[in-house]
Amino acid sequence: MVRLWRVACLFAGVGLGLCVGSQVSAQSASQQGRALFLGTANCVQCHKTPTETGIKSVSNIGPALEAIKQKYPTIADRARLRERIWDASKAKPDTIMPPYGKHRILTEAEIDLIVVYLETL
Amino acid sequence: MKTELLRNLIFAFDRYVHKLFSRTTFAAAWTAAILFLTGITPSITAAEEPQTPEQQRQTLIRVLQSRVPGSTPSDWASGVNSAAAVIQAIPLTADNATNSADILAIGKKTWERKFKDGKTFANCFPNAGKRVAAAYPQFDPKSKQVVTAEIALNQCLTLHKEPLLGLTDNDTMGSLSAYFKSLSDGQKLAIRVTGTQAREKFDAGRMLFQRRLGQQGFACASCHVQQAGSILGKQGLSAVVGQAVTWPRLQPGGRVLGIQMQFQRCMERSSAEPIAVGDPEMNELEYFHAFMSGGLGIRGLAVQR
Repeated sequence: MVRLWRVACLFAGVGLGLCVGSQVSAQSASQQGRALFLGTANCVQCHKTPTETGIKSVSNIGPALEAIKQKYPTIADRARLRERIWDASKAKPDTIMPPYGKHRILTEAEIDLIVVYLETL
Repeated sequence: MKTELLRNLIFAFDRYVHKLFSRTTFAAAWTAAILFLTGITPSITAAEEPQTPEQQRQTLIRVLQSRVPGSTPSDWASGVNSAAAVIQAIPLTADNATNSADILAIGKKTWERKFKDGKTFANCFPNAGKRVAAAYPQFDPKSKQVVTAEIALNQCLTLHKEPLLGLTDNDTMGSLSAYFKSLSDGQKLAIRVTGTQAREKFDAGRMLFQRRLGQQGFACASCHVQQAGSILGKQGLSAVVGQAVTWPRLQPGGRVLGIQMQFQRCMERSSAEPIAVGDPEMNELEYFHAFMSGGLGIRGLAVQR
């Protein structure tokens, strides 16, 4: 009986650890995404982020970035969002948005980090 | 019998075409013959004529007015491109007014300097160079090239066997060009595109204006037509119509910035290798760009924010 409890506690501990760990890594990914958003990708040049009080942007070239999770709720939507960053001209040929993936302005991993950050907005 | 004759005629034409043309042009010859026989040719030649440069300018004005409703080309030349954005013209403060006066004084000194043969720049231009700069850039039928104001100034030096000035040299060409343009202060830009060769240069300039460049993939038109009046970062994007009247500009620190140097900055922002100042491609771009501000008055040495 004692052994059974020990095993149960072990599994619970590992589960909790994984859960906390994944949260920490998501937070870290989001922070890295934010740094790219403000730095290399320089998204704030064109987009406002109304829910991010730390970023003051008055740009109005691209749409305001907010409620991203509600706008892109499913996995397919998320892929569509990623595709928009990779090469926005596929969906809108006359777009002014740089093709971040196609022209290798960002790596594939960096685009993923930006998507993680956008989902926090 | 008639059918037989027609068939023989077709075969004869086919053999003739084979002898005359390579395989690649064979199909084209047959197509041309069919079009000619069926009378389609007239409808092709009657296709819509491309717009004249002035028609293109008017189209562009309509596009820009749809982006910034209620505004006019004069507003854009004054720097008002949207309700909140005042972009191009910035009033002279005491500091940059002094800088501007200094630059023009240096330019005047160069303009009036006597060459070894006793002539000056004024001898190279009609009306001693007054009210002339508003016609630049212009197409030179002799060299079949677009000549900018700066190139014309250097051509004058060549004519009088004087050393040339660097096109991007702030202290010499920058101030001289600013002074030369100031002699046309208030004159309306009047760029002429006459003849097929001039039109080709104008069209080449338009193509470059519309071409996406570099890793970022911006075209001049992306920002200054498509997004004119929008806010990029903290600054409004100016409209292409009206941009050409306020060059060269005085930058903070007293440096003179020519229009082609600004083109280079834009190319760099698009992560493209900038085309050299004075390169024929760059001159063609300036030719198209200046034409789009036709009829608007040149205004002194404007100040760059």
